[in-house]
Amino acid sequence: MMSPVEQKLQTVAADLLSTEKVDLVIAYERGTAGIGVRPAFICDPANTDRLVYNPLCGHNLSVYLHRHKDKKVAIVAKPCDTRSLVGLIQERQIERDSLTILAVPCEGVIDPTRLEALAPAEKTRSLAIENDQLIIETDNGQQHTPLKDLLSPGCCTCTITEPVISDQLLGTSNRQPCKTDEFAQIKVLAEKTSQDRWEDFCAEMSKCITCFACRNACPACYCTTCFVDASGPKWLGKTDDLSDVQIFHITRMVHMAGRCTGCGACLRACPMGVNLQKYTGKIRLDAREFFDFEAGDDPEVKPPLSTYSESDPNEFFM
Amino acid sequence: MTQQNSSQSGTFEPRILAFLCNWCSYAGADLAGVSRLQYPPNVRVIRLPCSGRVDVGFILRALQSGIDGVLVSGCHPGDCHYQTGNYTARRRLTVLRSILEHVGIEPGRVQFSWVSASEGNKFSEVMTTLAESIKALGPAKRMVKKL
Repeated sequence: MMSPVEQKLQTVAADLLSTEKVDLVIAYERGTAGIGVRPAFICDPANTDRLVYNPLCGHNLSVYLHRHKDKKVAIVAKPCDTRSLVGLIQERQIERDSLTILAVPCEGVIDPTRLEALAPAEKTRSLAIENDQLIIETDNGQQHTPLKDLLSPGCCTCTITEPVISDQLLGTSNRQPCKTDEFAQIKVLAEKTSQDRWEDFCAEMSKCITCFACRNACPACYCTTCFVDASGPKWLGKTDDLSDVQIFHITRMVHMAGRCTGCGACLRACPMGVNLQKYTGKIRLDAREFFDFEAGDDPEVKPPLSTYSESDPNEFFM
Repeated sequence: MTQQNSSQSGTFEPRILAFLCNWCSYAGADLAGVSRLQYPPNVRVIRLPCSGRVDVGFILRALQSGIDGVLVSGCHPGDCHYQTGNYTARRRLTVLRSILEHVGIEPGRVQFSWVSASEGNKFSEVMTTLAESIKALGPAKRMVKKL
């Protein structure tokens, strides 16, 4: 059964393509495994009936825009994804005029790891989403689980309920901003001693296998040659020494400072469950504290590390 | 390069790396030298065109290689030879400093200063304070590459 948003999405996408207002629609379609979804790149209006939209549509599709700079693109964006789009417009990576933003409502997306834990693929016959319930059918019968128990960690503290920019609203949601403090764990860390924070960092980093999935999923990571791939200078050692892993993450934090919108794409992409929110949250707090800047708010403003102010913090300089 | 180490002399002699900008801090170091001002010999200098040239990768690589302390020093705000290099550096270093503190690198392992070409005295003072504070911190252990 198609939801009203899906219906509208398919109609709008078919219309945009057939009137040649756009060359490409970036959206979601059913994947090959289970009820999973995957990004869809549709150029033919006849194929728009493949498009779906449901709480499994977690991917931040703005990451794919870099590959289609020469086209007029329509993109499906959840409220948090629109903030990434703002970031890309800010950094002149995409032209607002060649982009049609189809804003979809979001009640939070499902964390694939939590879903897999609850319904292992080999034991599950079918999965379906009905209203705010996930229905899992196994050999032993049906099981209903509220979707909110399966939400991605980033969605549990989400405060972004409205799109920042959009061309077409495909639906509305009554979702209220979460009251949980998304920076709580960072504030806890800040109270600890340097040694404790270091141990915590080591523990977290030892989970990382440096697969760079977080980088690949991040819409703000678009350098043609990433520092991790550069061979001259070789910024990052290619060993499994913890220090190399740590340098990857610290450098990425610095590169993301004032640019991370907290969309949670890295978090969902991580196959090892590294709690990257501890680090992305920190740089977002810093951007607020030092530069009074919130990434993803205003396409006209320069990102803080591309500019300066004479009154920037100076007290730590001898 | 002969390395100072604690076993020979019995006391810990830190290895400190200083990234100095060509136009101010390096000239300040020069002035300290020609004025025969004394400062601890623990510091190795890398001359850069501007403090804005400092990539966080330089600092992280230094820490990974077992350097006990890092100093980044440039022209005073407003005095940059390239007008704004030190202002942009200041933003980047502010972020780096906060991140290093967040992940648990000892505060003080990486330090920053503004030293002008006429401040030979200040350069020697900065080096003395830096060497003393790094000695107090002890040898760098965190993030040192073991492989």
